[in-house]
Amino acid sequence: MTDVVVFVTIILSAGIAAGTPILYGAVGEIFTERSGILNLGVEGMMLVGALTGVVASLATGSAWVGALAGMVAGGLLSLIHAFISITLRGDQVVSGLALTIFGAGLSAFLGFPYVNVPAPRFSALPIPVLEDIPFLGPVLFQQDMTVYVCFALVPLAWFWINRTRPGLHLRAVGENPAAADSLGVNVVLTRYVYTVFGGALCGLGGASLSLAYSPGWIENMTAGWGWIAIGLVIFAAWDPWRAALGAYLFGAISRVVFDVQMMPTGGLPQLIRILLTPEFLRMMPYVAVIIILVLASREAVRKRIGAPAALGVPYAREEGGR
Amino acid sequence: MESSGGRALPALRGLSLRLEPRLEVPRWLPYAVPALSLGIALILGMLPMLAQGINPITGYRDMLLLAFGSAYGISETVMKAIPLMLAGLGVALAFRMLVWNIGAEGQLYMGAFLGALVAYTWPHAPAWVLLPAMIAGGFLGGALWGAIPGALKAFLGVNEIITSLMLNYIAIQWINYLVIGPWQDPASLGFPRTTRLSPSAILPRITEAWYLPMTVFLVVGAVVVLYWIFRRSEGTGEKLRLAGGALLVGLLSVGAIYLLDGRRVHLGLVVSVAAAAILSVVLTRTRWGYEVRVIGENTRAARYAGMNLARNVLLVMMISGGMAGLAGMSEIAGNLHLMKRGFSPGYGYTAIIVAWLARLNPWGVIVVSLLLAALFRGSDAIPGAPKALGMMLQAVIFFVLIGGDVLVRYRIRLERTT
Amino acid sequence: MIEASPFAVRMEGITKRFPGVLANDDIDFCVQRGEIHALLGENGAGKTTLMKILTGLYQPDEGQFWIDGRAAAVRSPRDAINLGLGMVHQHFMLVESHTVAENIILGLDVPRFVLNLGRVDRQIAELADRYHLQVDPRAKVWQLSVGEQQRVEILKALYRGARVLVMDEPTAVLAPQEVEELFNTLRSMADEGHTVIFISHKLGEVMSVADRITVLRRGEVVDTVLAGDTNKQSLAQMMVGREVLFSVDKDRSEPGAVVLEIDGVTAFGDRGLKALRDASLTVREGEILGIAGVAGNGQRELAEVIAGLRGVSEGRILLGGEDVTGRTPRELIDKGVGYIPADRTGEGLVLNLSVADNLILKSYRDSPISGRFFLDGEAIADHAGGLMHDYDVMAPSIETRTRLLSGGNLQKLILAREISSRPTLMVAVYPTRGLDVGATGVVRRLILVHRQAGGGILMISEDLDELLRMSDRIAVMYEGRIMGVVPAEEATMEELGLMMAGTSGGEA
Repeated sequence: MTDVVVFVTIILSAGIAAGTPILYGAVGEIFTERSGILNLGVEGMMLVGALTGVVASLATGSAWVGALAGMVAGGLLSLIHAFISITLRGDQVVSGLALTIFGAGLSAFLGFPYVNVPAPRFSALPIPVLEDIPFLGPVLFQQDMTVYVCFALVPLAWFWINRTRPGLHLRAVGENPAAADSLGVNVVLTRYVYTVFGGALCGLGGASLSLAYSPGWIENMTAGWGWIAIGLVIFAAWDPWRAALGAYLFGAISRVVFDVQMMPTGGLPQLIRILLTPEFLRMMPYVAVIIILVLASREAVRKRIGAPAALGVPYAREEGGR
Repeated sequence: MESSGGRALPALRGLSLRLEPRLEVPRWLPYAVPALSLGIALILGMLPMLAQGINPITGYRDMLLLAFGSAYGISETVMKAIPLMLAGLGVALAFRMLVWNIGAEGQLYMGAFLGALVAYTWPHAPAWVLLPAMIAGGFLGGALWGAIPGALKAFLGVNEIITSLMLNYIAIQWINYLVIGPWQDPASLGFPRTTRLSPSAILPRITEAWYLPMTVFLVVGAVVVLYWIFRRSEGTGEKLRLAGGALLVGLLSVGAIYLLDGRRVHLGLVVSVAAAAILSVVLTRTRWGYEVRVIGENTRAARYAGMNLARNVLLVMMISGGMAGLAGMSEIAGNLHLMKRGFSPGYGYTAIIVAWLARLNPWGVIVVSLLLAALFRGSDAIPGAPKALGMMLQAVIFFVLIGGDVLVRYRIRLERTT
Repeated sequence: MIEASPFAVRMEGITKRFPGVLANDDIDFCVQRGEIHALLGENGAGKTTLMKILTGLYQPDEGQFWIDGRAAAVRSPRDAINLGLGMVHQHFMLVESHTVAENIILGLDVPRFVLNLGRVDRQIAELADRYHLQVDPRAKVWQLSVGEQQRVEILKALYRGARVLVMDEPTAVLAPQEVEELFNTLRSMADEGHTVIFISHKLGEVMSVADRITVLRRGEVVDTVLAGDTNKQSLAQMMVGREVLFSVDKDRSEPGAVVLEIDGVTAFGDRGLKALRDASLTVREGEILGIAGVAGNGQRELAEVIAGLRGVSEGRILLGGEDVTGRTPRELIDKGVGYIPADRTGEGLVLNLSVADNLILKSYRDSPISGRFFLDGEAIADHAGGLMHDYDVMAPSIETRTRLLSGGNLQKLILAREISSRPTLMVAVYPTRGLDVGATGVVRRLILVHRQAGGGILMISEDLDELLRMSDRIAVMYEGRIMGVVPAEEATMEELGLMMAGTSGGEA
């Protein structure tokens, strides 16, 4: 019996660690999309953040500086997208795609000398006393700093969005920018701020990947996790708590997939054996995202929870006519 | 004092920048913008090169020489361009209807898979039977893979960007499984690749004797098509353009065959050019092409005119996927002659940039594919920064292009504010 | 020494030009403190423009105004709010997924950081009580009825300390009993010293609630009168003017068989309210039935229902005797319905495509335009070239992108496409809106020619002159009902004006 408990504990603990980078990206994208801007460049910003984190950490000897640098990198990159989407009213889908490709290319190119170079990282930081709580202790409190910060981020994000005045303005800008504008809310500034902030969080997610969960830099190390974060936002119905649930669940599934690879498969039927090969197992997370999206689309139709009403639509205070 | 609309951008005190929607677009602008973007991107591309301690001028020169400096160079560049052309055509078609097919990479892999399946199942069939069957298989593989996000979008309204992207990763893993598992070549000593294709399964080189009957067939076919287009075209301007285009293609083909004699360039090139021609005809001269264009430009009007949106979304994804599948199949059958892990260096993603840079125009796709292929090939010339340089440059191009797009749609005006 | 002005608002010499139109022409307008002042006029009279200038959305080209006796510089909605002006727009500016309280405090600097809505809820409840604007501060806006949503808009202004309230067509979206409640609210606000300006075109309501009435016509002030000194007839006369301009320059026609019959049709608009109420009409071959009425009384919905773009909840639509209720637009096109939409660039045209591409939008599936798969380029060129010539569409070639054409040419394009498909019934919605004199003439001529050729035409227009000139019969719509149908020759401006403003008229 205890073997099962130990197994579940390990899975959940690893799940939280694995889900953290994605959760940073998802929460960042939630902020951005709530303001009405669609930023598909999460993958690119995470990669840039990951590389910047490693480089800065190597240069200064401090992983903290690395994480901060990752945030700055992600924020700067998303500024480009903000400029194109908000001021130039360009197509947000294409701009986001460009951002992804740009981030991937830039990080691959500049990161060439840093591949697999070890850098100061965030190591596990068990919290005394709390880590001794049965079951929850090992799961929650034997993680590293990036995970703990993320623990704090989720409720703070929820509180900011739903229970503060700036959060009210944020939501209004994403739902009905014309109404917000007519009451003096600065729509343009709001969207800029949250797009850049969301990008900074994505950069932080990348840094948490390269400085904590999977230390070191490898080209294209996010392997599509940035896209999964975007899918997660839809699944989470733009709510940070649900995003956390989804991210940690996803992390746990990834971990299970990884462990299952180690299992001996001698006695099992041929079909199951095939499904348990590393390649098929690696497919699972992506299949899961598709299934989740399908379910979410039907749920949205059923429950009338939808995206922020003005998501992806450029705003301009039109004049002229009667 | 107000102008008739537009946005004010913050600028210097007393002056303001205004973005006004353009009422008329000068004819040269939509072509100048991509060219300008390319230029600016190349300049911007110097920055990271400098950061790596590379002299940009010699760097670019070396790149150019490698890509185009010799017959061998040209041949290799063209080889890299072929999958870009095919996948780019597919992506351009989907984008025309505002269906964002990001899954070209996965569709490419699945097309390669189905084409190879045909090749491995009937390795001893004669080439003139096997090759068309492989082509059909390649198209089908990509089409079916593209049908998944297509159907999900058409009938359930699921966002096609993420679904098609997820399917990329799934397809790559599927191929990884095959090359390590059931299809692994026993003679490869553990290296993950499949057995070589049988001789009749290989897409022949353009200049092999085998090609002659095919050429004749194509030429005759082209003439027939051109004559028919001539008869039904819409004015002298159109006729002249067609004639000019046909002449150009003819000259290029002759030149290419002469230049590429003995080189590795395979029939995939012919398939690409044919596909571009077909796509161009379909878009401008068929009922379905008309529907695609209308739906992509104004969905309300399309609905009013009775066009079936869901069916068209599915169809477009399938054809788009099919073209990407052809790209994969042609890469396997014409270039590599076997499958291995990650045999595509991101052709499906680069195809997106190709399509956008070409402004979704089929012939533009052909030209831009050659340019970007040159970029990729050329980056091998610079030590210490292989594929990544090409990747980054292409991304810079993409970004600058989007910014430049604004210039096409808006006019920038400087105004005095009081 | 500043003497207390009796005027809450005084506007002098206000002039505002837009490209091609003089919206406000040297307007003087005064509103006394504590009164309910109605701004009356047809669509396009300039009422909304004037109020948008007052509340900071537009800047006047000439003129100035005073608020409470002080010269006002209002450059933005914020300035207006600071001066105590509040505007309740016709189309509400509410965030539907938020609560009432959240909407009311949006954009304000308090509460400072944390949303402690308890206090706000209480303040709102107090305001609501004082002005009889019952609404639950914690309800979500999308759950409220339209009348309740309007109360939220009013509370928004009052919460910000507005002393002058401007309301744009407030009763357009209200049910009758909600109208009464609104008027009670306005009266109690006036009693408390607030000033109310409301824009309307409805005579009955204006007479029942306003203290003074200013009538605008074509951008100019006609007169300002006390409500007690006037009646509906004279107001109607002022609204539509006394010109009797129509000349009989169209031929007599003998209307033939009935092509369209609408029987007791009820349909809902976009906001979930009834846009058409038990409407019945007939249109015959070779006749133009004009639909008069201030925009927003169901005309657009009527056209959409006939073109198949909107469903009906009751009633039938018969085309040439055949019941076509509920058919798709494509089917109706195939049965001979032509549609000239109000929004040319919406369903009417695809701007980024060429002239030729747009001309075949409805016929692209039929021969000779296309065969099984292929479009016949030659046939298209002939067809398009011919149409461009016949309908005088000025464009460099048939390949020109439609985006580059002027408004007049766009309309001619649509007409060319619709008329050339020889519809038995043509529905034209505001066909000359926004066109210059020349284009207007061409469009009218084309419609008359189609009438001559035996087509039945349903023409919706805001221009009474145009309707009187062109129609054989005129029906007037008000709040989704057909108030009356009169033969054009016998119609008088007053009669039409009264019907347009809500008084029931004759039958024809």
